[in-house]
Amino acid sequence: MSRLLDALTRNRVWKSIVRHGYPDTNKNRTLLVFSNFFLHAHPVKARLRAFAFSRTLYLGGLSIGCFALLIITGTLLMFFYRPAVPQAYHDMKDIEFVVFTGMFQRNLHRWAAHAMVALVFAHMALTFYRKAYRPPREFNWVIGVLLFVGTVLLSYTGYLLPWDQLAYWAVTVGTNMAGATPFLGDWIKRLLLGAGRIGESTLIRFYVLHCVVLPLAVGFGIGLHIWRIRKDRGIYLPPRPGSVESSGDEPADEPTAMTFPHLLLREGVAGVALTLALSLGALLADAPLEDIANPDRTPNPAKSPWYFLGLQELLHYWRPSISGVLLPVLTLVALAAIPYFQINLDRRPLWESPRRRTLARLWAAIALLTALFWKSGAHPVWAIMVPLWGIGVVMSLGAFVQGKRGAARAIRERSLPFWIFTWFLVIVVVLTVVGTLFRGPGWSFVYPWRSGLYL
Amino acid sequence: MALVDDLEHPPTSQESARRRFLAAVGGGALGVGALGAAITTLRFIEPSVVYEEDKRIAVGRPEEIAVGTVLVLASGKVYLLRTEAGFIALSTVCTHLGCIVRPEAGSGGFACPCHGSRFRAEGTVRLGPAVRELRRHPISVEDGLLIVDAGAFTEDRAAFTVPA
Repeated sequence: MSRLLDALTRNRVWKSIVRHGYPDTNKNRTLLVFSNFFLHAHPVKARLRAFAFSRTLYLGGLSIGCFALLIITGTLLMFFYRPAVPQAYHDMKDIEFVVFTGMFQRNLHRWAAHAMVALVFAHMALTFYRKAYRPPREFNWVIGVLLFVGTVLLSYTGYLLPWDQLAYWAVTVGTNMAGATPFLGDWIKRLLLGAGRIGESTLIRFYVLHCVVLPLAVGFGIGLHIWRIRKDRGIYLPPRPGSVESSGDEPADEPTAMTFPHLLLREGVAGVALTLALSLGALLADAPLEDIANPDRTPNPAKSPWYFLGLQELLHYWRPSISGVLLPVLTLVALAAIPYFQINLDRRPLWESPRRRTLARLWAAIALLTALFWKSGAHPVWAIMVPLWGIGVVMSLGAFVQGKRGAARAIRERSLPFWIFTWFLVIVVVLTVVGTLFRGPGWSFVYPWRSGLYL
Repeated sequence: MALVDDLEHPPTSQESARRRFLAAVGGGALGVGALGAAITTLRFIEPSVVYEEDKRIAVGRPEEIAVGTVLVLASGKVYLLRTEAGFIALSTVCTHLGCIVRPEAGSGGFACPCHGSRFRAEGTVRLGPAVRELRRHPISVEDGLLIVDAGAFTEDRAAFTVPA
């Protein structure tokens, strides 16, 4: 065996490709990372604290893993898929029932897409809570927000392609939403549709966006995102107790470890675990495919995939120019602006200010917002008001609890932006859960334990 | 070829002014060119011809349609009502975001399966999020036949009556 290995590696061809020796010395391990195109995003040595699973939950890396799986499975699906009406739908049926392991590839593509949306969002939330957007990383946070938008757009353009009922009506609603944009609406809508209404020209447009434009844009964005992390000397690590935070070099006593084997091993294990988990999902659950698109009949209820049901729920309350354009755009702008206003960075606990006045202001603001969300829409927006009250109560506890440790201390020491961001996260989750489980025919409120699930 | 580094040999002020002028002209030309290319590309992507088929429906002789009748046309995308006042051709495309509304049991109106808007039988909004009532198609009479144009819309709110 070792002689076979020797025969393989001790010749001019091998040595011309891999221009260093076997990684059994630190010099060769250095060269392995340093001289390898595919590993050059890594430093030769990395800080040990950055390795820990608990620091990042590997959310960013797993998102990239999903993207890689999506590129592979997506390319395979392209061998059988024709973006035309009605061939597209028939090709989906072929992929499911005729193509060898076609069902598996399609399932893997779908579940990896869902996982990527969730992972990228979770990555953003954790980056906020870890305050990792601290200068000089402000713009990399903005790139991250744009990558989230790209991920969502990839998912959205992807699910028109099967040309089933879900596809058709999701795109009807989506393009009409884009059409509600002030001034530019009609033009944007025509640009997306390629015609006056959804049809073959829309399908080919979404196909090009999904298979070429958006993957290239997101792939480039990922490269930029990683490159900037590398230029900023790796991911953000909070200063260790006792050491002063400096913008320059790491303190000399920061423990590091060789990328080969330690970091590469962890990345490899995470990648394999992700692939296995998603493959298992693809074996156990089939991606939905509804009836062929029928422009004359909307399914009742017509539900988008889970990650858009929060938005669909919002559309139940306000007109599309507000729910579908203004609120999403404002949310994205607010997210992108977070690092530029040092939000949540100065760590001034809310309850440092005079307690009585803060309480009065807090509940005045909550009352005002309650009035706004009660009256401004077509229906009272419970999914936003109830989390508001819940967060308000938890926040107010900070004015009364005394403990010096654990939850009591945590509640007392949080800043206002921390609570606002948490409110935003809770709203996203509640809107999504309400849209997924509690909405039935005619978008009326149902209890899933009484009337079953409408998915 | 000799290269002159502007840091080692600073240009005279006259030469600087000349360079700034040339840079402005050159940069401006590049900018205009890029803008033109961008506009041309956008215009390329924008569809120039939109194919729309004739969607006129010949319903039948108006005198044979009794008052109170509701006819479902175009696979459910058009509801033709004959009221006391005359004919109304309602489009069932929701004015909110374009889903096809369905008759709602109980109310006699319509419900949208996508975002839950509710309309009354004659198309006015009963519950949001929709704010505009259901659109109407133009009706005409040709050769004694009632024609509903499902490809066009009318702002006319008066019911159609057959001219004497």
